Amino acid sequence: MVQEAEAIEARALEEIARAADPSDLEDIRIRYMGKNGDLTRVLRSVGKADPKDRPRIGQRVNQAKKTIGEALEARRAACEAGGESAAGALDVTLPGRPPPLGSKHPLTLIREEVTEIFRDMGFSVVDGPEVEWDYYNFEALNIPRDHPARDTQDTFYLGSDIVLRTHTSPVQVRVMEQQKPPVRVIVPGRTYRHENPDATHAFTFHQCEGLYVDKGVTMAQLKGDMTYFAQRLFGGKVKVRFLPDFFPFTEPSVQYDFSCVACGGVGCRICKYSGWLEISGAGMVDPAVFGFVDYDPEVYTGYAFGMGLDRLAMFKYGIDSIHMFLENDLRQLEGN
Amino acid sequence: MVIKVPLSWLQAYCDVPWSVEELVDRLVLSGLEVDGVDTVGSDFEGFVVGHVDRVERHPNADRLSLCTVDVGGESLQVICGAPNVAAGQKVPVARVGASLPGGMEIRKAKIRGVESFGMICSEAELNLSDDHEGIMVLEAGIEPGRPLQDVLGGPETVLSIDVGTNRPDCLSLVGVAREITALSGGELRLPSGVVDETGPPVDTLASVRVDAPDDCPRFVGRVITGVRIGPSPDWLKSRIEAAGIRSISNVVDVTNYVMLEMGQPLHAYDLDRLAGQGIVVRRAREEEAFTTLDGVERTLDGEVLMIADHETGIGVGGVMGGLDTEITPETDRVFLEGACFDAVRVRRSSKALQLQTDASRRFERGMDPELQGEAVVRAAGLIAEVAGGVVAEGMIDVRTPAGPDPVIRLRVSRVNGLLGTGLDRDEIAALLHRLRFGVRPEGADLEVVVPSFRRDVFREVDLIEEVARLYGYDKIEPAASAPPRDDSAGAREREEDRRGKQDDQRRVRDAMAGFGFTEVVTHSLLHPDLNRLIDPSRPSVMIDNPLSPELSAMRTSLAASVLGVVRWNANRKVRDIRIFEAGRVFRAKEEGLPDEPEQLCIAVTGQRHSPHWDGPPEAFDFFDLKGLAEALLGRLGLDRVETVPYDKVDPLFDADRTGELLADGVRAGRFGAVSHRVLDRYEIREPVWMGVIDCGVLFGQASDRRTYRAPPKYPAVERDLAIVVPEEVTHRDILNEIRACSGDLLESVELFDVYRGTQIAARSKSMAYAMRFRSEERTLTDAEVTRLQDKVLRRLVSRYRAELRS
Repeated sequence: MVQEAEAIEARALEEIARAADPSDLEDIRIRYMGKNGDLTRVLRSVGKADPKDRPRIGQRVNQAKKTIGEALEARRAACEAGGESAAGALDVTLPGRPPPLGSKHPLTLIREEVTEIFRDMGFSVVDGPEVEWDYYNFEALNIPRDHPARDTQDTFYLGSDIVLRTHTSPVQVRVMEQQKPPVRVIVPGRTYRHENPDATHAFTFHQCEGLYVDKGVTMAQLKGDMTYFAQRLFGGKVKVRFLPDFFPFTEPSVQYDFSCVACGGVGCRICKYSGWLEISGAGMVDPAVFGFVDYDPEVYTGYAFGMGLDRLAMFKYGIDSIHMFLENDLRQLEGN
Repeated sequence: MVIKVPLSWLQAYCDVPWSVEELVDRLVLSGLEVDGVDTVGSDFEGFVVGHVDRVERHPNADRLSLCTVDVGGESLQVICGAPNVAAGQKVPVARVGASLPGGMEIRKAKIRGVESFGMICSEAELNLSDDHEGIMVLEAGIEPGRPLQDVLGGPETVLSIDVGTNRPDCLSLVGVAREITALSGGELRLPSGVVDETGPPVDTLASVRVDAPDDCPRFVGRVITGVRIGPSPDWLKSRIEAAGIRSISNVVDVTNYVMLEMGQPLHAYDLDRLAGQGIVVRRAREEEAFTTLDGVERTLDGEVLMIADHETGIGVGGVMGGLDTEITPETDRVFLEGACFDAVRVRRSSKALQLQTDASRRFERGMDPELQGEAVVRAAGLIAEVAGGVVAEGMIDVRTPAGPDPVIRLRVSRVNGLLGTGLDRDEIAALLHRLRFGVRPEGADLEVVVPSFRRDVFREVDLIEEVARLYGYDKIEPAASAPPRDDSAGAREREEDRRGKQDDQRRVRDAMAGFGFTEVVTHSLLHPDLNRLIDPSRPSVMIDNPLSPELSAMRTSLAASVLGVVRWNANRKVRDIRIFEAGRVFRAKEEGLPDEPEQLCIAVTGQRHSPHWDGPPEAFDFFDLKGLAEALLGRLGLDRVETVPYDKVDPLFDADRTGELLADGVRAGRFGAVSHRVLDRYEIREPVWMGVIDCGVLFGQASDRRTYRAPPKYPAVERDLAIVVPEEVTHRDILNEIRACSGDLLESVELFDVYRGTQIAARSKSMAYAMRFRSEERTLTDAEVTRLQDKVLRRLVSRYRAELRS
């Protein structure tokens, strides 16, 4: 009887697997488990078996009943779910179930990209406070209290000695205070300017500072290193241009531009038809700054540079508004 | 500071051997930033000078005048809407067929029934300035009918140059011309330095006393008597207006003209209104009242430098003159001031008055102490030319003696060492010579004398910059630097620390993005009320000069701005939101800078999965968030991560649905359902689940060190245990007992079912666990495992009144 139950179970499972639609399944159910079904018949006959065998047989028959019942139910659910046709064919063109696509913010992506390039160039990454002493943000960068250059960096104040840092440059001083040359660091971070937001200005933006101090550091190296960086980030055809500029904490100071990454330098809307994209400022560390950190400017020279991560991200990822970054429109960010 | 440089004016001082484009390129490459190139005026084809013969009211319009204009032997009827039109004026007339610089063509027109044959133009319509208040009135003596171009000149190209704070010498036409001659090698033509002095000696007319010599190292005065104040001649007017300064009267225009030309701010006083016919330079008294030229009465203090006569203040030194002594139509005798004020003093005066002027901007950048004499001579001569009058003999010159021009030694090796160039001594000398530095060889090096107009140069490195920019930054050949190697243990440790933190920051974001979350970045400023809403006990770090109250505090938690992102997107019909932000928050301290710990904030609203055709939507719930938070910490390598009920009140969360995360017993953060109070404040209607995690804990302990263990050698024994316990017993209670009783042999234990209902007693629940036992040394026997299982059960029975569920 046990063998009979097992045979019935095997046969039923096979038929269930072949069943084309719920009505077939109902037929199968009646054939095996209905009032006169095959399995029902066997179950009834258990009583006729040898009493000592009855529990074993009963258990096996009940198990077969349960197995068949579950198989019927599973097959019915599958038929009704609609993924497969009645004949069991799968419509592979139905939409899949995608896993949720996470994404990192473009400011994170650009920071990671920039950081990776500079790490490859032997720079280490440091950070510093966003709420900063006036001393580090201005004084020790050779911008004394009554210097007109302060007007060019509209500043949020938190008391008379504390500011929201207007650039990442104060970290230069902090690092040099803590470490003797050689120094080769970058400082990605958030900065603030007391400016009412408009189409091209924001009061919060993101910079990456760089500082390299050692014996024999030259402006030619600054140019070479910035060119390498530009080409790693934007491709081998990018050129770098230096224009004279002024910053109290570098001398000589430059503004550096990349040839336009959108048009290759022939002129387009993005570069305002100039062929060049203004990136930021750089220069050779001013001896006055070395004076604040007790480096001997006769022994050491250094270069420093800044760059706007927001701007780089705009160029790199084709973002056309600086306000996109902090707007956080998920329709734009998701899955990118 | 941006200055406007009309090209035709500039060419009075130097030749420009290049096209405008090339000039701009060369200036930019040598360090003068050209912001823009504009055209002022036009060729004025079809424009003539007209004489207004008659002005009558338009019969059908109150505000229009019917003018009869003589345009040279021909009389035109022209309708004009300007209030200032009057008979007897000489005016610019656009005849029928002419086109305005803006493009509009003038046609014969019928205005309210009356015909008009041309247009009388304002300065704005002629593209000369922004002035569209009324029509432009020309000099009275001009012949009607003359082409307007004869009078106003042709179109003018005007460069806008943004001069950096380090180059005050370029805040003038002569200064820009000096730069151009350095680039071109051409000649610099300076304005005339002589004047006919036919009046009485100046000492007999006026006096100057400087009581504050530190604030005013030099004060020069000249007197011109018998002037006739009136409008400026058109050449003077058009030049200063092209440079962006409005014409006021001939004498005042001359002072502005010379400031634009030479960079020296000047001031003209009505000498007869100076009490005691003399000037005293002194600090203002505390609370001294003074009315500046702009008509504003101001209260001064001792930081402000005052120009006074023998009774009262008449000007704020280097910033602005006063109303009481200004030039008026009646002025006969002019006292001309040319001073050198201390940069810091002018800056403080200007800050104290919150008043910046063309003069103050120039002074606070540093003034050439040798310029005053020349500038005052130049201005006196021009005043005599355009306003008549006689220049008194000599000039008053009160000054602290200037030292000799500074001499700087410039080492050739240092030039090349800093720049990475291979310039020789003579090349360097030639470059500096073109910039008008005095240069003499000194062995292998140079001695350089700095002229008075380049006081921004006082160190060797400043000279190196001059050499570099004139040599051309584009000629510096790029070289690669080799990363320095510091093998000291300190350097290695430092680098490990720095890298560790960077790597951790990256791992957190990678993990969250991997879990399907979108990273957002919000700014750090908000309204302090939002800080109070979320974290009432913590004081905000406040900004003294915020842009608005909404941006006046530093955030104390990321939750406020992340909820802002939820609302912003929900308002745009984004329904299923899964976001995170990792960033700094700001914690005020008693003293010094605030702490800036990093936080991770996670927010979810909407469905667990994106909607799909196959299956009903399922709302995100507490256990999704809990699973996520624990998985994140686990993914970051933290040990023994668990969630416990939070027993205090966190206003961000619904009190019944807050969990606290522990990592190895250390509090790592909280998560749960955002409270209705907070959601209401944000007008968010859907439930939001949020987690706020302290990155300090993650960064301190996170690690991506992985250790792989050998696969097990002996089989496991699996047992299920279903018990009924009173409601208040937690999963954690049961788990702790199971673990405590079974020791090392317990490999894992999973809760696989929780049941409440009719089949068990009220206020109790059934919990079903799957336990797996394994030994690393042998095959466990059935009996052994049964003993363990019984022990567990006994403990649960005695401790928690558990019953085995049958």
